[in-house]
Amino acid sequence: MIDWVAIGLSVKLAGITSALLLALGLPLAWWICFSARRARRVVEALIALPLVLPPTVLGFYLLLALGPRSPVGKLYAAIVGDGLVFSFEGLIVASVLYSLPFAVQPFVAAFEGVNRGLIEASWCLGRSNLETFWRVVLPLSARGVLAGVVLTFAHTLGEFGVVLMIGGNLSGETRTVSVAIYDAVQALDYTTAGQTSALLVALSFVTLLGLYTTRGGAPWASRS
Amino acid sequence: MGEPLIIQLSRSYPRGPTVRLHLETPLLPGEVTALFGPSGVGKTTTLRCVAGLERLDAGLIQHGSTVWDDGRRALPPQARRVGFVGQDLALFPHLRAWENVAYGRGAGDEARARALLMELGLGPEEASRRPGQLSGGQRQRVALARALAPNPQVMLLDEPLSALDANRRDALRGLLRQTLTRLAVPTLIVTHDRAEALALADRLVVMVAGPEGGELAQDGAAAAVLRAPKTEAVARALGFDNVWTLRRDDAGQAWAGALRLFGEPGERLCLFAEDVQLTAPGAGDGDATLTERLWEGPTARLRLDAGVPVIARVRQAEAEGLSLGQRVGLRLRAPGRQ
Repeated sequence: MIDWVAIGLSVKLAGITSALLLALGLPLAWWICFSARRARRVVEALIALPLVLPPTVLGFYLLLALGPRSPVGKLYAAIVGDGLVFSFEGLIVASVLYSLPFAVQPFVAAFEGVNRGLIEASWCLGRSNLETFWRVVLPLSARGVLAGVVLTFAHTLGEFGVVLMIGGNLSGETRTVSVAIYDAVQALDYTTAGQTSALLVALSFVTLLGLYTTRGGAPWASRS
Repeated sequence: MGEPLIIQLSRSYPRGPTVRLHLETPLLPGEVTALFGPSGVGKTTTLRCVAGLERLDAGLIQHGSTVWDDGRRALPPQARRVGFVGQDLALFPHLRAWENVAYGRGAGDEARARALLMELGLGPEEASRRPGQLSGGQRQRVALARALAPNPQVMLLDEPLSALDANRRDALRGLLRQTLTRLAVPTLIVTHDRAEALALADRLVVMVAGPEGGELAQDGAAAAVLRAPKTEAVARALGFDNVWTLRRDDAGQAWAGALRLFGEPGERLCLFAEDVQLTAPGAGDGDATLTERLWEGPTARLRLDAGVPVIARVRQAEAEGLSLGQRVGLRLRAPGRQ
């Protein structure tokens, strides 16, 4: 039987992760685009690490970094009164870090696609960086930003390795849909695994279809 | 009386050219100063430094008593209140024409934007279109209106008409000059087009390629610079095809090669190709031999040898009757002299 709780948890996790990465990723991508500092390359490489690292490696280091004996874990426990690992909040932290490149890289590509001359024109017209961002850069890169959000959502939805390392398998708390499928297969319940997998495929496909449908010529592009 | 603009600029590029310029120019209301010269001498760099879009390596940019950039600290473009129109116009593609014009801080509301566009010849229908739906000339007008709308202290125009074809360029040149004069905005314009510089500018700042990069060669009233180019490089930059230095014979006659002229020894004589006319041998200011003929549509460009190299441009029909090696007479008119 399909684990609807796990599906609901995965959607919730993907939604929160996407929202957080939208808030964190936009300023980070802006800094990467417009920083002349060498640190930019280092930051870009760090952000891209989850693309090449095995999820278990990232999960292992996160387990150490967020665990009850780590400074972060101790601080969190002192404030919230509970541990960060094997909790939904721990999953969010891990997902944000793991999905960072899926948000930031499309954001950077979108910002870099905006003609620098438009930004300079905005400055010369007296508009601040923030005004320029909201009124020129964001409208012109909206599709790229949307792509980053959708990719983040879809990627988080199917997370397994990092989720398992950080969250474990607590029903209603950290058992996501991919972990539920793994459990079903372990229990030789191929019917449930198949139904849940098909649902995940359909959900991911619809998400990506939505992304590609919104692509195409910008409404303000020249008709000539 | 306008505020003077002081530009003491030094800007280097890694593995690229250096630009050096020391210029103090009064920015009078409605007066247009043209930074003129061939490509690659740093005209655009200078304009971008004045706008605050590039930083100085060293030097000073000061407007009135306000230092805009001293090589260490620089005012951001937002604080300089300049109206900048770059070569690509950089109109915001997602905004309608009037929204582009009303975008700037202090540019006013929709009514003012539409009124400004109307003054520049764009009606309500065009004002409601996005840049992608406008012609090149219409986009140019929107860019100009957008830069003027916030009442800038200085207008900075970088080859503003370069993207247009010749007919549209001529039409818009007059409108541009009228608008700048009427709104009394001091303007610094960059151009490599002699006709544009002379049609628009009250003052000319001629930049040429120096041994270490682009540098200022001459500045002054446009008519004075054209009448008396300081160096051969300036004369060439201004488009003079013939630049000769006069010598005098024992009888006191001034010569350039085999051409009899008026003037003092050492004086530089500068002529456009159009100012050299063909006559019968012995009937003009001297004779020359035709060495090369290049067809240029309704005219032909002739290269001749009169002891000095001579370039002439004549009508096609006139050139058709000539053959290479033929001797012809030359008559010179309206010389620019130093």
